[in-house]
Amino acid sequence: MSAPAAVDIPVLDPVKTGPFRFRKVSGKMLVTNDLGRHRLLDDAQFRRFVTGALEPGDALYEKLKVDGFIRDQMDFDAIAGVWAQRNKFLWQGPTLHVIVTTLRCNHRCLYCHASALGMADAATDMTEETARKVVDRIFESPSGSITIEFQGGEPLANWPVVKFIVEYATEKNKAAGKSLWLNLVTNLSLMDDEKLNWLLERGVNFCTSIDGPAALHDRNRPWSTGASHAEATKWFKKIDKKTRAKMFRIDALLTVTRLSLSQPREIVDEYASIGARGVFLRPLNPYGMAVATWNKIGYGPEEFLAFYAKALDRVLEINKERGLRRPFFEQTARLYLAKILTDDDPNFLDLRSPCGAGIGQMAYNFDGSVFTCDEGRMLNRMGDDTFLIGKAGEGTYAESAGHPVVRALAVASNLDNQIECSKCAYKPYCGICPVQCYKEQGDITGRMPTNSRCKISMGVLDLLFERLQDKRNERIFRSWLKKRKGESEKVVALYQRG
Amino acid sequence: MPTSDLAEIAFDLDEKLYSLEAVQNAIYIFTDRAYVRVERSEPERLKVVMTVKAGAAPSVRVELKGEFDNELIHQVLRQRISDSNQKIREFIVTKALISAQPSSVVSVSTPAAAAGDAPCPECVETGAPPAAPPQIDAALEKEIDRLLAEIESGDGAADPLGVSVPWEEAFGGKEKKDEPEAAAKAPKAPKAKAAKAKAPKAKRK
Repeated sequence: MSAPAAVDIPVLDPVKTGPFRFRKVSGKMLVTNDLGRHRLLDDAQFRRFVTGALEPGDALYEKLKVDGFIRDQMDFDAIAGVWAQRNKFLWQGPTLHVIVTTLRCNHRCLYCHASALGMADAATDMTEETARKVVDRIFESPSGSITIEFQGGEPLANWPVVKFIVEYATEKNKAAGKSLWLNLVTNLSLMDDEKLNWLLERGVNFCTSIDGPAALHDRNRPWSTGASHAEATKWFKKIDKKTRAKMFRIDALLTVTRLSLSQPREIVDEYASIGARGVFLRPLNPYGMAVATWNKIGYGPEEFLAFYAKALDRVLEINKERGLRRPFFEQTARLYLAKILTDDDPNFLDLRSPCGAGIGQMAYNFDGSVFTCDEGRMLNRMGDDTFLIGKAGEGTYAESAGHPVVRALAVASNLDNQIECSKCAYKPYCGICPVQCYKEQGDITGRMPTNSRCKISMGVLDLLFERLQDKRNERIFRSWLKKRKGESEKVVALYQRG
Repeated sequence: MPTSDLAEIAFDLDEKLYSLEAVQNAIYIFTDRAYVRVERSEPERLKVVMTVKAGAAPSVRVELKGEFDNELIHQVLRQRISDSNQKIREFIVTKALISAQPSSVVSVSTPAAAAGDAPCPECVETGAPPAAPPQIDAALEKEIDRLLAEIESGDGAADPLGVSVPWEEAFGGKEKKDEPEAAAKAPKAPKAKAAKAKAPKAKRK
């Protein structure tokens, strides 16, 4: 935590000053509230706000009033409505369902979080019978929207079962009438035109890994019988071309290793050059192969943040070169910015309170075992069954969703229960991963002062609020959040009128 | 006066100025840089002992006490904000949750500026009048009481939002696409269109 400047304790006005949290950012005091509304105040403004010295008609008073900071002007109907809007995931149930169709993979990524196996190990291929039970279980979720995400291993190594699940889920949905999304997470090395056309005809989304320029990518993601980068970028461009103007598409993301830290600019430029809509910079996590290779490819939060700042600034440069009509985003920033600049929540399961484990997502292993989340499934591969909550075809959906482990994770990841998070200015934008806390710190609640994920989140949010002080940057950030036609961009006023 | 060498810092605090909770919250934040304990040195005085962790940078050792002082001030203010606004925050969340219940059990409400029944600590301290209590109609108030009691007394086994209710049981598998809120037993979304869950962002291995 950065050192705050010396201040004495202002006397809080209990009538005029509503709920807020604060943090020093770039020499100013950032104030936020539960609705995610925020404002940067200088020391004098902060003191006037806290002590109730701001008066109606004062420009700052009026701005704070609109955003629900002035207690005796709060509109509770509007505030409760926005709170519900920002937390609508609470009413939905599990929407993301990760299916591991096989643990086999032809790559040997240095950081493989899934602890994938060699291509000869067909014992971990999901059977059609298990797949049917998994899909049946998925459709029991009360969510009106279902995303089935194929993971592995490399899911295309078990192509018959991928096909079966797509067909069976689509058929089953004719009766269920849900909003069904299918997402294939693949390294694209086993893709061919026949498979691609079949998947495109059925509206399947794609997500692949591109770790940067060829040399870096191929070091991070060795493939013994081929050139991984060349194949991934070839198919990325082809699929991108075929899915333009469609509801489904291809995205790519990367895992940042120590090898990446010296190449922030090159990585961002690589994504721009292949025609990607943006880049998604994700830190290394302590699962699977990454545990064994940490000494070679791992790094500390400060090193990641230094890399991230350079990469984000390169992203901003590209946006300035292109203009606002062709936005190019960084996805971590975009997720936070949606929470900072709008009343909507992007439903990113790691950035929720509580997190999505068991109540926003479930993960299904090749044998039908059900886990709270993909991270819980990754730990299972490391010999720890803590996050196992059932098995497809045995027991019931309600038993899994109401499992004591799910309830414990919901309590642990509720930021109101976290000593530091509950009073943190970034609470409305953040979330913790109790599985990562468990893995790193030995308990699902974790301890934020020494939590690497917390340090990274705080650093990224500090950076975003610093960059947001430049109006040109703010316009670029807002261009990343453009609504679809017909969706309102209006920000709800949170004060009493009339 | 603080006693300190570069490895250990100890100092007393007046509990009338700094509550135990504020001190504990400040201490917690320093657990990445120091081993910290708090003890009562005498009535209404707290003694904080911080031992800098091995490997900490020299600047950390020098700045630790000053940083702690500032953090403590912030924690006192945070505590006051929290105490003063706890009931308002509970009211907002309860109202938002209740708005998702079936309409038959929710009445229309027009709450004005809200606080709780008891005067807030700041009001006692400064003599300022508390904000007006919320004007809630009887049915809504009953629902708030019920929900709060359920939250406070329950073990979490209850499922008021219907997250563990299987789809077939809730909707019978016959609802039209994107209209799950029409079913009688459906877990209600806060707004009519909110049940159209956004597709969560892709995860990766």
